[in-house]
Amino acid sequence: MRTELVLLGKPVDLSRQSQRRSLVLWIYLAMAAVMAGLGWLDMWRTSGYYLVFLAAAVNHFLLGGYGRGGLVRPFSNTPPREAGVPSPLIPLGLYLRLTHVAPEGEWRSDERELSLRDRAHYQAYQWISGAVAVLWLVSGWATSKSATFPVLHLIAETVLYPAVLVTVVLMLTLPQAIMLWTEPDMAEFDPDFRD
Amino acid sequence: MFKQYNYVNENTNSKAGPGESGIYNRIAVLRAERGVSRQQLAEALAVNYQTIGFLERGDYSPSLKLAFGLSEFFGLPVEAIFSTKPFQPLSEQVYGARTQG
Repeated sequence: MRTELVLLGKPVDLSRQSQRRSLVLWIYLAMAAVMAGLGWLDMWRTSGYYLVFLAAAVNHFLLGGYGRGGLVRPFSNTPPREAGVPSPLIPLGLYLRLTHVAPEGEWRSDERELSLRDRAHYQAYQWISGAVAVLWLVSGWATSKSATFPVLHLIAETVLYPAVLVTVVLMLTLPQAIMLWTEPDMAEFDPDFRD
Repeated sequence: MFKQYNYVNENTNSKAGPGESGIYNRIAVLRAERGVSRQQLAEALAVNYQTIGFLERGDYSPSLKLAFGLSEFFGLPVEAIFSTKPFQPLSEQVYGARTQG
């Protein structure tokens, strides 16, 4: 796991567990606020997709796990794919570049990080699979009873879609968030320390 | 710096706990003795320097491969580096053996 992000050109030290936990909390608070805003806008009917893009951007710039950026090294443990074409966001990227260009091997997770990755996915998908099962049961029940109680159809329309959206966002971000949350303090681990 | 020196001793101190792993080790002492940085040791073992820190703090139990890698790096048997029981301080071991002998 990386211990530093470069935000707007300034390095931000995230070697302390408390700092990483604050980051995770702020990310989810911001995403909840965006979700509430999109719900207010059009009940997520057309804007729901933007939440998924937002989760991908959060991964790219902050959490990591997929590709070159973010704190968590790529889950695949393979070199991040080089961009084949220049990004249309290059002018923005000049200001939002959050990680240094990874030297060869910097992307590689060692045995401890791989075990941390596997445990975080196990924990995350336990919750997510439970949520999916509940959603499936509730949606089946609401559909079967909607002829008798039309209000159920309305409730399902109102609640199930945002619940599915939240589940998708958690699928994309929760393993990294668990890793950042549970990794102990590393502030005292100076790489050049010899004594 | 002083804080780091403290926990260099911590994992070899019989009064201190072995960290989350339940395994005591002498990695910090051996590394300090040889003047090797965490980064240098990490590069030699193909791990990240944080992992060396977690090993020293006793928060991580290495795989057999990594344990043997450490053993080879320091030129010592595995049981001289890792133990399930607290280590005696090295000075006590050396001088204790002399006075007994």
